[in-house]
Amino acid sequence: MKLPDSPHLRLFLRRLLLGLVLAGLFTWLALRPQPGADPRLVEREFMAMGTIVSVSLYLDADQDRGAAEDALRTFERGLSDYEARWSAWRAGALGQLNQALERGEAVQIPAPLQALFDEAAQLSAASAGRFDVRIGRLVELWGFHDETQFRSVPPATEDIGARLATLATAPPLTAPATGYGPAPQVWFDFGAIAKGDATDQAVTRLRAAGYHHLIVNAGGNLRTAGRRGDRAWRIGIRHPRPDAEHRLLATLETAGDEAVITSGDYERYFEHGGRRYHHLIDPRTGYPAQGLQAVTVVAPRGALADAASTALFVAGPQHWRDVARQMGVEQAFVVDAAGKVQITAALAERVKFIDGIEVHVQP
Amino acid sequence: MTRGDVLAICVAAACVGALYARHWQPPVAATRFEVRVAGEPVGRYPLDQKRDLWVDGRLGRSLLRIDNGRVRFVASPCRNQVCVHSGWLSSSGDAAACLPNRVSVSLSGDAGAGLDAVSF
Repeated sequence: MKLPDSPHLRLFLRRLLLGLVLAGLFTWLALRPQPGADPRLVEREFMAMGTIVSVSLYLDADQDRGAAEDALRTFERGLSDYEARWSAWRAGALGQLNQALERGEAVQIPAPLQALFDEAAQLSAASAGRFDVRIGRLVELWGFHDETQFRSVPPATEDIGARLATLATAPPLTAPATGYGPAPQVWFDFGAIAKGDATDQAVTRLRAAGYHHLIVNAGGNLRTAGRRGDRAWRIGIRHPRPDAEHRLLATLETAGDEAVITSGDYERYFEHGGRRYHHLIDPRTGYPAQGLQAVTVVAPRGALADAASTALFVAGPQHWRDVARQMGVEQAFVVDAAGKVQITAALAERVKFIDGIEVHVQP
Repeated sequence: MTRGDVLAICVAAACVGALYARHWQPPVAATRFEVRVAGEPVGRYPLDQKRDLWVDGRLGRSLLRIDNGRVRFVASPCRNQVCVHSGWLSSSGDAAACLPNRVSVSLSGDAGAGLDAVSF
């Protein structure tokens, strides 16, 4: 094509071209696909295990959305089986075992429950009893076993003392846990480990179905696998005493198999006489553990992170570091009653706290 | 440089500014939320309008309040008011639920800039 001879016309054409390019650029910018609507991200949310469970899958380029949604529906049905099996107060496998104990019988641990019973026994021993699945009767006394049955006043001191005394004389759970009892006062409650274990099972199942990049969120108990496309998963950690500007305490990125689990005194609680009574009961005193607002544990598996977050909370500001070591947890932080953070060196490298938080690194 | 060039640069700069103002958000702020009853979505609402919202659940009606980019449960026909204790929610990834009434809200924003999940 031959350019016109007139210099005015050439200038006009040059500007026209520039104008069209700019207009095209801005049209693309305004209309480009929003990052929130990533076609490779498939999310499903449902209620299970007394909380909201959500799963996010990040698909490989050749994976089909419809198939992924079907896989999540199948997973949801499997989760209700898991919930029934581990519910302490319904008539599933654990509930029946509890009823048999109550009748004074010695029980055999059914095969599907065996692995988590073993793990609970080991973690209970490692935490010196700060994590204990035998505390169902104490949890029941406090009313934290059922979200529709919370109390508004603490139980009587004598009642707590009586249940503590029976717990002290009950046989310990030892691994391998093939049988238990007779122990008519013991009622097993796996509430401090089952959600974490469920997230591990979820990753195993979804991976078997061909999904390698995912987050499972069981009521704020997170388990991640793989990545989100070309970046890591980005995780926020809730501020234990949030206000309008500070909803989050910290953020971190995870890539690969990791659980991020937080236990806090804000999850289930009631207030009475100006005091907060929360669901993290110290099995040794029978009362809600004192001294911390929240504990976050990062570990390779959800079951470990779940049990450890409870045990570290019960251990309190003086002993959490030692208990973490005993339980094989390298990455954890605690928030004390004044809002100050103590963190292990291994986790301090990865976590970004918001401004204004006092952070002490513990070797 | 001619006046036309100056004009083109000014227009381009103004466009960039306008797009920035329109699309940039703090990294974790949510822009909308979804309400579900028994896991089934019943509505999706923006967080930038001040309004109250009644949601019919299994036991009765839960009241949600949206104000200043945040949402919270104000009332719910449950005994323990865990949902009301949850307070204001404003970050992408946040969620609250009234389990007895089977009503839940979950917040989302521009996921590319925000978080994929929140541990609590």
